Amino acid sequence: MQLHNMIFIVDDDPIHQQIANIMIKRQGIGENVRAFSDAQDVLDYLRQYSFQAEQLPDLILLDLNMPVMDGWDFLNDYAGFYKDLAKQIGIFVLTSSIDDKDRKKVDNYSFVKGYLTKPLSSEIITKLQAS
Amino acid sequence: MMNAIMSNALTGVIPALLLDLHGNLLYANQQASGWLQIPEGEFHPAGNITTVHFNDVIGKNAGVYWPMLCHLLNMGRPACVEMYCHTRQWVQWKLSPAGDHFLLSGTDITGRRPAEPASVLHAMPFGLQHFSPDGTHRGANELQQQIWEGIDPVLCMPGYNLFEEPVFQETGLCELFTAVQCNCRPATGEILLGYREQAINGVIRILPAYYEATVFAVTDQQGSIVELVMIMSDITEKQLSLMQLQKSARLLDLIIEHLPIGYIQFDHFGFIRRINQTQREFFQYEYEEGETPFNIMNDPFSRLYGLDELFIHVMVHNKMLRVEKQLDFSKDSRWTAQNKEVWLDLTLFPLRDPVDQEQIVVALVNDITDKKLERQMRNLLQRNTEQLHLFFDAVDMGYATMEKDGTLSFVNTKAEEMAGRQVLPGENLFNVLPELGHLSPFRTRFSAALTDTVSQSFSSYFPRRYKWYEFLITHMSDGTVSVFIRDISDSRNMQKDLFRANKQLNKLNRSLVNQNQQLEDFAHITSHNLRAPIANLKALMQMHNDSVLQHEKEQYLSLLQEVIFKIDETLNDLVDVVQIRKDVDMEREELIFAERLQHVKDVLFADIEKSGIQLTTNFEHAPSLEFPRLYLDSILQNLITNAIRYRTLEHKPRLHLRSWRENGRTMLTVEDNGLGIDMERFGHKLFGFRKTFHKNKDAKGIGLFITKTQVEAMGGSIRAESTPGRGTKFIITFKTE
Repeated sequence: MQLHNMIFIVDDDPIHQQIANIMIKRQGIGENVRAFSDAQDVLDYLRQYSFQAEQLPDLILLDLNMPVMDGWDFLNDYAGFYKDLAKQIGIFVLTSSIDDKDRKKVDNYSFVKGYLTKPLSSEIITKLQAS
Repeated sequence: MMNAIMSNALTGVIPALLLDLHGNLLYANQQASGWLQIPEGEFHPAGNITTVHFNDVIGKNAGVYWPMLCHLLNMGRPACVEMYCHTRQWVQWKLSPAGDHFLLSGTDITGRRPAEPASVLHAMPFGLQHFSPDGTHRGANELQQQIWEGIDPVLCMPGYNLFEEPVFQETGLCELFTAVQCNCRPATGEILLGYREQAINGVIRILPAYYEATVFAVTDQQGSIVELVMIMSDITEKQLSLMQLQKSARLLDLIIEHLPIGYIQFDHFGFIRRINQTQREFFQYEYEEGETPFNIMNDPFSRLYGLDELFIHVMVHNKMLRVEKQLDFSKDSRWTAQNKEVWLDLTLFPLRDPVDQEQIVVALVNDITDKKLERQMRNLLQRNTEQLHLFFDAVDMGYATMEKDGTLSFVNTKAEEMAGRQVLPGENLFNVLPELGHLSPFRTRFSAALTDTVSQSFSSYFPRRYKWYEFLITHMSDGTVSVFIRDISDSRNMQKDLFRANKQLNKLNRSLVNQNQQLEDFAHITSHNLRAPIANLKALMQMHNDSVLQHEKEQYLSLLQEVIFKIDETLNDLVDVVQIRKDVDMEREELIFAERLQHVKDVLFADIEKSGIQLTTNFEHAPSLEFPRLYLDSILQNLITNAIRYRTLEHKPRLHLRSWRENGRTMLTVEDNGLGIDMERFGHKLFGFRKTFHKNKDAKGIGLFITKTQVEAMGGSIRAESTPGRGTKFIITFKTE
């Protein structure tokens, strides 16, 4: 079992943030969980610590439907620099959308490890742990 | 001396002849010479070259010759001979010896001869002639003499011998006599004696003279012939009429044989007795000798077609019958080689056989198959033409045929309807419809069709009729012209209607596309804005159930409450939107922009005062609008709220509203000098449901969505222009009814 040091939750829904936080901690797959409401903040963080592996998260749970900068904007931006990062980050899309179009669109981003739909459950958390 | 004797003896009234011992004539006195038609006086045998003998002048006529007479004298019997002479007197000559000579004294015995038989013979209506057994003429009755006179007078001269006449050898008269001489039985023959001249109506015709001659012999007790008698009667007329009859019969025969129509003669029992050449050729049948002839009464073929009944009908009613019959000769193999179906014109009529006096039937047969076919063809053709005309009457298209000069030969009903009156064949098109005449497009095309011999197709408008007509003018190969006319006014109108319908359809299509988009939007909304909180509910419920710690449970329950509140809020927003979309028939009313703005300003009084926003307007080009009041108020309120919410703090916020009319529509712009939007990034989200792109905490992402929904529900549209940091301009196009 691999323990993820740092997990980022990117979602504008505060309730979801809380739920994810609690579940991850319960499941014990990561100790350090951080929640972001604005995707831009995450991008800024990654860029800032791109050379410091210990500061970079192991896993990012990304929502698609967000105000101002949404998940797509994030992915487009991230695609431009993720190869320069000191650490390989596992990105999972976690969305309430069950639209097939969205799922296919996500397939275009090779660095995204999986497409998960809400609600978050212990089974999904276990899957994250396995990755 | 002799003369002296004679003078004495013979000068008296007794006619007397002096003959020598051999019978040669020596002297004839006056009376004797008169009877015998010889010279009077002395005959000198020594000096005379021609001696005259008893046989010549008497014996030949009387049939008693010199030796016989002398014999009678020697026997002591009266040596007399009776003779009929040309003076029509019977004379008895009596021989008496006179020394070295003989004397023949003549007595007129006409009175003594039995008067009755003579007169009977003379009165007989036949010619009667007596001949000596060797054929010398002895005497003839008057009729016979007349007969001979008509042919050749020589023939009843005294002493004339029938056998010496070559003409009779040829006619066969001699043969009759020879036959009688041989077997003593009477013989009869019809003889063409010669030719007679006959004047008929001033024209002399030479006619044959036919006689029936009967010759018989008169015999004595010993059976030797003493006289030959000929009875002759004129049968010329009978013969001629017989010949005429034969000629007529032959002619009739020929006519029948060569009649150009078939001739069949049936006997009383229905057997064919005669078929002429034409009919034989028609039947292609040769009658063989000994074959039982065809019988109309019992032949199967004849009965099949009821020919036997025709025959009976003619026989019974004794009347002519004429029928046309269709016969299929292929059904008979015995009597004819005609192997096809034919039409016959049959004429049957009864006749009485002149010989048997039996009723017979004659049939005249005329093959009218070709005529019948021709008639059928003509009927068919006529029917076709009629059908064609019917067809042309039935089609919903005007049709007329005419000569090159416009003389009409046929006009169908539809064309008459178009012309507005009945048109008779022979009328001229250009007189009937002067509007097709000189300088009209029709006339031009008509001439072109005639010269180019190419069909002309065109349509033409007739303003006085308010009609569009389409024409096709075709120059036919027979020199006539066919014109087809179609009323296309309706189709023209239909085209217009179609165009209009198409336009409406396009609009409907656009509206459907729009509605489809809205549906997709709605699916998106359900997916993101409803599924997300419900997913939270699910997760929280799970966590609550899994937890054993009371404080955790309470935490989850409070979170649940928060989620439920949010769902309720979202659902309420959606219900609003659905309501707007449902109410597309929301009642419109006349709204004054200034009035509605004032109302909204009153509602938002606190916010406006607090933000210090400055509102300016220009409604003079379009002061009013037909629109639902509720919607217009909502639109204005949302836009003003937006302007206040996204104002910049760098300078005094301002909002300008302006209305005008453009292309029959009312336009409204609401322009602020606020934060502005990065249209490139967020343009597609601007009017979305719960789409926010400001970090402003009050942003719910519902106002512009409602505004857009309300505008579109009434058939209008809304868009935005913006420069970040400079401000935003919303442009609304209202659809006016």
